[in-house]
Amino acid sequence: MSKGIVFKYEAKRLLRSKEYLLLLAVTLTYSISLLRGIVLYGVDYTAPFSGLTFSAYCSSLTPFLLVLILVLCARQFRTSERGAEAIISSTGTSFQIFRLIRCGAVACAFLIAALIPLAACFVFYGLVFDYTEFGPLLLTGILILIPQAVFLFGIAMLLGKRKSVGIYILLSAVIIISIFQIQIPGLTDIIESTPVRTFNGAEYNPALSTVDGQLTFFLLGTSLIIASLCQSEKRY
Amino acid sequence: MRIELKHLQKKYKGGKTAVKDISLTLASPSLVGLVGPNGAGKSTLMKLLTGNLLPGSGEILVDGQPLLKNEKQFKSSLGYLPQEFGLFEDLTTEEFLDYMAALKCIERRTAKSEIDRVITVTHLEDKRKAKIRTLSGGQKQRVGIAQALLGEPKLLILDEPTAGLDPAERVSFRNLFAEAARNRLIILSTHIIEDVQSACDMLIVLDRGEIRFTGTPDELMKMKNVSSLENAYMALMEGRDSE
Amino acid sequence: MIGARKLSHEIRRLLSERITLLFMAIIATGAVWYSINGSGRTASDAFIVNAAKNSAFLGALLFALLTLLQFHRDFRHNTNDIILTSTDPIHHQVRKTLALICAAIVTSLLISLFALPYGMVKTGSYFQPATFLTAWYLIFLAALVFAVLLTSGFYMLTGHWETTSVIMAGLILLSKLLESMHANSEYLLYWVQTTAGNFSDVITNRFQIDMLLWNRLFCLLVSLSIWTLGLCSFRRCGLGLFSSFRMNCSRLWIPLFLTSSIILSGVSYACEPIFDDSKPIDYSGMIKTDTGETVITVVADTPEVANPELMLTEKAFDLDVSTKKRTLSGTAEYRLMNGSGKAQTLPVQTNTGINIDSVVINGIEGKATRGETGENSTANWRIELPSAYEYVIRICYSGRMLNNNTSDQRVTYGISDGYIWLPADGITPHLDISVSDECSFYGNLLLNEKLEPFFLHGNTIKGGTRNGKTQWQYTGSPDAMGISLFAAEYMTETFEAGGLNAELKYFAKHESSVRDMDAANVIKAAIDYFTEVYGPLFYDKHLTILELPAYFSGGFAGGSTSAVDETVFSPKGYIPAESPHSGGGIDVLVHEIAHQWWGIATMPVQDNTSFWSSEGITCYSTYCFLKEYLGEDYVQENYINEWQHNWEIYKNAFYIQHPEYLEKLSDKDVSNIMGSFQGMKLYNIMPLMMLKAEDALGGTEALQKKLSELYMSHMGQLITYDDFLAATGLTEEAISLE
Repeated sequence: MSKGIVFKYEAKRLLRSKEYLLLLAVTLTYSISLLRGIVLYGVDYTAPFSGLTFSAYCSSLTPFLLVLILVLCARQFRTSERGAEAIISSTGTSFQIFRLIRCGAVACAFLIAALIPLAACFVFYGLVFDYTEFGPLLLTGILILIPQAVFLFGIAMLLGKRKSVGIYILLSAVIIISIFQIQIPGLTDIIESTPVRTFNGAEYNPALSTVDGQLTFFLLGTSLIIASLCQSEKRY
Repeated sequence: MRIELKHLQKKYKGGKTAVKDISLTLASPSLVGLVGPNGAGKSTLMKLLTGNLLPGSGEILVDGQPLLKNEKQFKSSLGYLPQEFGLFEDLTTEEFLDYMAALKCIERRTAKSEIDRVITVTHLEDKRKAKIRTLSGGQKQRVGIAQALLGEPKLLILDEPTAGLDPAERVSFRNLFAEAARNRLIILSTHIIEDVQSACDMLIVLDRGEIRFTGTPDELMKMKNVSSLENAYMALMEGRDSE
Repeated sequence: MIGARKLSHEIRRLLSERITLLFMAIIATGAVWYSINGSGRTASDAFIVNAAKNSAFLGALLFALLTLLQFHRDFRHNTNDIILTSTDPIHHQVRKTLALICAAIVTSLLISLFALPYGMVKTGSYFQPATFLTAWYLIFLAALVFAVLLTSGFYMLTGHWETTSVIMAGLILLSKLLESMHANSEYLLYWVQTTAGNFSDVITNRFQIDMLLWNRLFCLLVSLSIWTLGLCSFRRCGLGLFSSFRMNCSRLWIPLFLTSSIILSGVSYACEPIFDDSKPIDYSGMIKTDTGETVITVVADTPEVANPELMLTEKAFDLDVSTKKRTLSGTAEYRLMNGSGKAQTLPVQTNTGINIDSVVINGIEGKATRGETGENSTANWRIELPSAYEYVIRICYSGRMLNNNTSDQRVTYGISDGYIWLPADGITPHLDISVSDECSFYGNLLLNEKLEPFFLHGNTIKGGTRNGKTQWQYTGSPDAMGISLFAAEYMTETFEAGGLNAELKYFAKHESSVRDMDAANVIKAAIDYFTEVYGPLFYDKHLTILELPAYFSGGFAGGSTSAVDETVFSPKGYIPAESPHSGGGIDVLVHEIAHQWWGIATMPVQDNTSFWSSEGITCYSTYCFLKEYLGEDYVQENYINEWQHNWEIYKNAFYIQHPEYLEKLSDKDVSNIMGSFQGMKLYNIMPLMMLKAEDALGGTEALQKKLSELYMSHMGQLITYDDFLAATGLTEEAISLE
């Protein structure tokens, strides 16, 4: 299989899809309003480019990005996609490899959607405040944005194989929790309903438990993704 | 290529036996027609032959080797058109065929010419750049046939390939399959007797998971002492009913 | 009949679908959750209204989704062609819409099974059926109905579920986002949750309900317009949008319905009866920030009158307030002196809802011409006066109160059967001319017999009855021209305090809370304390503490009245507060009383450089009183710790430490950012500085002695920061917290 070609088409299909473009536009619009609001003012009167403000910015974006990744996952398990798999399964391609390429395309689309608002924030910092020390902030952004997304991605991939309606239920749960700002306790807070922060002056010092939690999400999510890939296609 | 089916059986959950103890030998070059009423087990047999279904018992040998042992190699020379399939509606015809060519590991330098060939053969030239979602049902069927033909597979398994095509197109594809069968094995499942009448050199009639007849169309007609294949088929089925 | 049968079949089908039942269950669960976890300033808000508002969002979202699923169903399952050949396509869409609305009604009724007993139990004697029905039917159910109409309308119009879902998500989000925008936003646009809030527990919520009714009317008409437009656009026979539109409009009722809905929507918007077209208030000299805080930086000198050549010597009125029609009508008679004897233009001001019906000048009919609307719901009129040295002018007027459109669209004035609040120019037309020191001001007021009037200035004596109403006789003084009238079922406790005849006027329903709180004694103690510490209040022999409805949200001090909203009298812990630091209770009561000394009797004036204002010294005064009344521990926890915490935040704030970054921002952003510190500066840092002044001077008594001298020497005057420093003998550096 020419993996590059398959990846190219999968990525193209995702990046050109209406759902992706729409969600990206919404995320970007929201990120701009955040920049003009909480970032400019600074969270808890800290600097706009403080770790605390930046992490609040990333936390606010998390629900949108999680919705985006779930929508992309749901796409994989639509009836039309499953119909195409009837043909694809008859090629010599290993289904695990094929699924992996698809996951890769989803991950790529997600990363683009996550990086654009981060880049917008950095540009904002640079233009307005002449602030350019983005390294630690980027790490903060990754710590906040990636683990939960990986975790939900893994759950969605497993759910999708069994009952694709499960992804929509998960999606609805994320939307409802986000819109109505329902607080979820501690380590189960996969959608950053309670923004994680430990305020220590102007610095963002995530507690060890927070880092552990994020790491757990990441590892669990990766395991779930691998599990979904490794499962052989049921041939009753 | 030589395919042997030995005492193949497939039972679904719920107790329905779709394929009962089928033994067959198919060898290229040949155009094998598979006919039978609804629920006869044709599609199940097709899926067993493509490796998309596992048999309950029995085995399938491809050139003497079990199919599942050399699945990858087997699928690399397989072109398959299922009865129900989907396409990527957001790609154009050409893009979808390029995608399928990549999945079939067709080399890049030959992929373009191969795509051009199948587009020409399936009369999709004017729909090359059209998005698949804009195609009619028959045009989508042609795209399905086109992807099956990619890579000049040695084995073509086509399940109801002419569904949705107009009579002129059906004749055209019938001729295409007949031509293609000169140097490969084609197994063609259909409801339309005319599809198998003129071109098939082997006819298998399947009913309730069992083979009712194997042979040439002429042999069936002679057996039933009728002049048309359709009447011979009907007589065969009526005989089933009166048993 | 066949239609009714088909409709009932559709309703049954819809209500038996699992997805419908699932959505209804989720909404009901959400409603229960919101009810149990509600918070608010009043019991009605905490246990009923806010739950309904939050549930309205959830309901609108899920019913929009359900509507989309139902309308897209035929297309998704490819049953379009079958169904639309078996039944009339237009009727089919109408049936689906009606079935969804029925599902919404069933959902509301289901929720009421919990919400009604829960609300009754939690609010107890404060339960008002009108509040419950408003919350769960006018707010919640209406939001669901609008979601159904809008979603189905947009779907039929666009033909795409994706576009429709984006539009609906955007509209629901917009209704939510409007809350966080502090700019003046139209209450009519809040189609989901409305701007309802601060529902009173103790008096009628008629004013709030009026707003909601009009909001719902407008939203209904707009939703129906969009729905009908969608119905017109429903694609048929393979035709496109415009051809389908033409085809569908051949059924006369559809375009008629569409046209009337659109026209009525426009009319309902234009003829909105609660707010007027007041000019935005000129904030030069004040800071108004997008944070929602309005901070007065300069107290303007008494403005000049429009026509100083005319002088008012006597004013009398006869006012009839109809709580049934919710209007007033009256006659006012004025005696004027004209020093020059020349023809004059008499400037008259009324509330924007009042109309001058007739004018008689010295026995001859005159004419009043209405001019531009001014600020604060003021309508400006002109009456041309002939040459004369004296005038007797009789003005007949009538109308219905309107409210200031530019002030966060909050209803302040109005007439209802349980509560009345009229501004000065709503009681009688106000003449913008000089007023003689000997000017007499008196009148008669006819009011519903169960209501008791209260004027911010002056006296009222109850008379007999006339036309089934109680007559009240009012006498006031020249400076009573700028009065307001309140009327409700009041209970009054009178007592002497600080050498004044004080009274606490509260709503009858609040009797038990007021007694439990021992409010009268708290007020007496506070007045006595401040009188002892600072000096007596000088401008009146009376002082009234007046209870206001919750919707006023806060308090004010004016003339010889300190007014506080009803939440002040709520027992602590009874209502789950929106924030642990939300005000209420005796702190606010004492604070508003202290304002009589610092804000009314004297006017500490805020400037742009220091933290000085009437608030800081009032907070400090409140702290001093409560230290004696409730003890050191209380004030340490609720005042000093709070002030110090906010000081820490302030001094470590990024833009305070690095003001150079403000240069890179726009003026508006700078204003907003610095405005966000205003509350801290005025309410927290200044009192801390006064505590430091205490230390510098040798204790509380020493500072209070200085403040007393400052007060006594500045009665009726402005007090600047420099005045304060001079009085205390301290420098800015001495009391700075840096």
